[in-house]
Amino acid sequence: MRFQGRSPGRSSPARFPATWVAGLVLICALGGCTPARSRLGAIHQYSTLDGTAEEEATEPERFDAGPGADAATSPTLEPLGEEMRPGSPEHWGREARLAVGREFDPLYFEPGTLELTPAAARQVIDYGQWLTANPHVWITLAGHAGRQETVEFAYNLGMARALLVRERLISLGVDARRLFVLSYGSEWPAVEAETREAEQLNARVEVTGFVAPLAQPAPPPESIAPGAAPAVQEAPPPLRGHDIP
Amino acid sequence: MHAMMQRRPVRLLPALLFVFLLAAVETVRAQDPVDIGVVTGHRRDTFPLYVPEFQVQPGSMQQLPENLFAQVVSNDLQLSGFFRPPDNVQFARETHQGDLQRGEIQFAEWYRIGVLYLVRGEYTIVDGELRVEVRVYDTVAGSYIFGNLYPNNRPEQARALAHQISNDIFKRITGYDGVADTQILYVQQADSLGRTKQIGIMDADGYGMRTLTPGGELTATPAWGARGTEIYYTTYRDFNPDLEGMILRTQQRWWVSRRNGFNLSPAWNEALQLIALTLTKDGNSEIYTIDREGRNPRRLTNNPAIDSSPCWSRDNSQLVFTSDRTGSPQIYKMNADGSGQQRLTYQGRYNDAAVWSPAGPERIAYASRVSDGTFQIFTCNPDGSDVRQLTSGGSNNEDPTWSPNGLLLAFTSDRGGRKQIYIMFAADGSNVHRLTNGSPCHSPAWSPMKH
Repeated sequence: MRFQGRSPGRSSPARFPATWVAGLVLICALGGCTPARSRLGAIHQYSTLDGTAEEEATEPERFDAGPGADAATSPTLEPLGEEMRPGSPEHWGREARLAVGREFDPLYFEPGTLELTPAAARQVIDYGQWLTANPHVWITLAGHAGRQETVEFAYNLGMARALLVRERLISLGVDARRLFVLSYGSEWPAVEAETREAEQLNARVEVTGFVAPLAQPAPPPESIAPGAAPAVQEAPPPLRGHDIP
Repeated sequence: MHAMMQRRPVRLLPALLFVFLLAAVETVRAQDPVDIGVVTGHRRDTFPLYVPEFQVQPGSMQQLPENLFAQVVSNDLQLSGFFRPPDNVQFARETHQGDLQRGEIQFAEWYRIGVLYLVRGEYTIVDGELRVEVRVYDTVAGSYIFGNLYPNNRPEQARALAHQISNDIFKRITGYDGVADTQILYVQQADSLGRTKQIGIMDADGYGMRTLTPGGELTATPAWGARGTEIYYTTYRDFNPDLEGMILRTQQRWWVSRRNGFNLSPAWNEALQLIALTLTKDGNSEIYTIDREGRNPRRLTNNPAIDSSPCWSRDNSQLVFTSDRTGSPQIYKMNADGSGQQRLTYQGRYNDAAVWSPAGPERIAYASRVSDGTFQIFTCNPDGSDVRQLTSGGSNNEDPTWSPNGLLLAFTSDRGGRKQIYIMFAADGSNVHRLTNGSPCHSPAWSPMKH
């Protein structure tokens, strides 16, 4: 029942009506009847649809269901504690990535679109099944776009691709909290060229797994915390001249 | 006024009337306001202007680098889009030498070699105090137009002072505010592979490029913030694309927004004290407003498609943005509360990066993919009419940003092979100059006026 507030149509592109209707059915079915999931608390990433109330709603929930209780059934959610920030693969350390024991090939898209290639669509199903069977593995989905996009739209397209894969995996039964999304736009192309082949390889979502108990998030960088902005500075006065008659 | 207009070509009359009105209001003592196709976008002529080296007056205890004032002022006025150096600089140099020997200005000679405006200056530095006098002459009328005295400056301010001199000359002759003392932010590749990028800042003439962010991180979409004394940009330093703020003078940084998903494309509104930006925290690219401390988020768009890259209108009542709700990215506008969303661009299959001119004629500039697959810069009216293509030529031109006087556009172009930042005259795309060199740069953001 936790997923009832979620509208899959929001984050999946509207051009896949069949897919997200199927996703809706799957999500409702899985969300409602999986006993393990019902213990996990509300999904708080991307869960609030009303932007005005989001600060309260995204207050991180704690996953400690009591000392010792459920340790055997939900080993993956403890170590990260309440810090649920998504992050790039580097965030979690090499050891945590190696411990996954398998690598995930990138999921390719048709260049300039939100359509997975037929091969990638099959791969997603494979990943979904594998992740359902290996609940200790967490996933970062990094969306990329090709050089034929504008800089800003490339970020948005990359993110839309990552979010699409995320929705697919959720619809296959993967816990949404194990899936982190981010976008590198066209900044990190797989191939630095503007040929058709390069575009094919650049339109992708890179999938990185890591084992949560081993994950050591990098220390947060120094910067002042949100909401503690320094006072606004005044601009210096301009240099002025006098008229010469 | 009437007699002057009758000499102009008939097709320019409405535009000239407007320019004259502007110029007449603003230039109090200019002898003959410059007419330029700021409004119409017709090809205009630029005016040959010569700035000989400023003379050191006797008694000066120190000299500035050779040609500093002449070079900076001449270059600033050239970049302004209204002036050009004389066709033959050697003739101009000789004529100036002749002037100095005779002790008078040979207006007929200047006119003969095609110089319309002559800027002469002299300076002294006494007890660490720089004092500059500048006089501007109209060689056609053979007369003195105006002069300015700049006392009590420090010698190390000489370059800033030269920009101020350029602005004063520009304002007196054209009636428009100059942008020589403004600055431009940009994103620059920081390693050979392009894995990391730094936010940089430079003067509007491309001088004094320096990086602001510490490096070792991917950064994107810099924008100017409150009072023009701080900036906001996206950084991956904490492994997620978060929005960070920086006080320029102290380089003090703070997190503005660290919401899940990306925090991208900030656009500051000084009147409302709000940042519009793109967030994906709700599972899809949407436009929100937040304050400069990241609080009070308000969602403006609500759509399963991508809504991104907001920019405020000049009167703060509207925003332009990009959306692919029809299947391809197009420019839209909406009211500041998110209501009244309407599509502006119908030409081209791919339009992005819309920016609303902050002054001058009210126009929206954006990048559009043309038939050969490259991006080019276009402008249109705020209702989407009168679309004009400003760039062309087989290379990509994108990321437009307006100069704060609304007369110029800075943009990214890969015409030289790698991405660099260029400026051009916004009315017709003429007068293109490259500002950056070296490591690839993109995403320019022009500062507001300094005063």
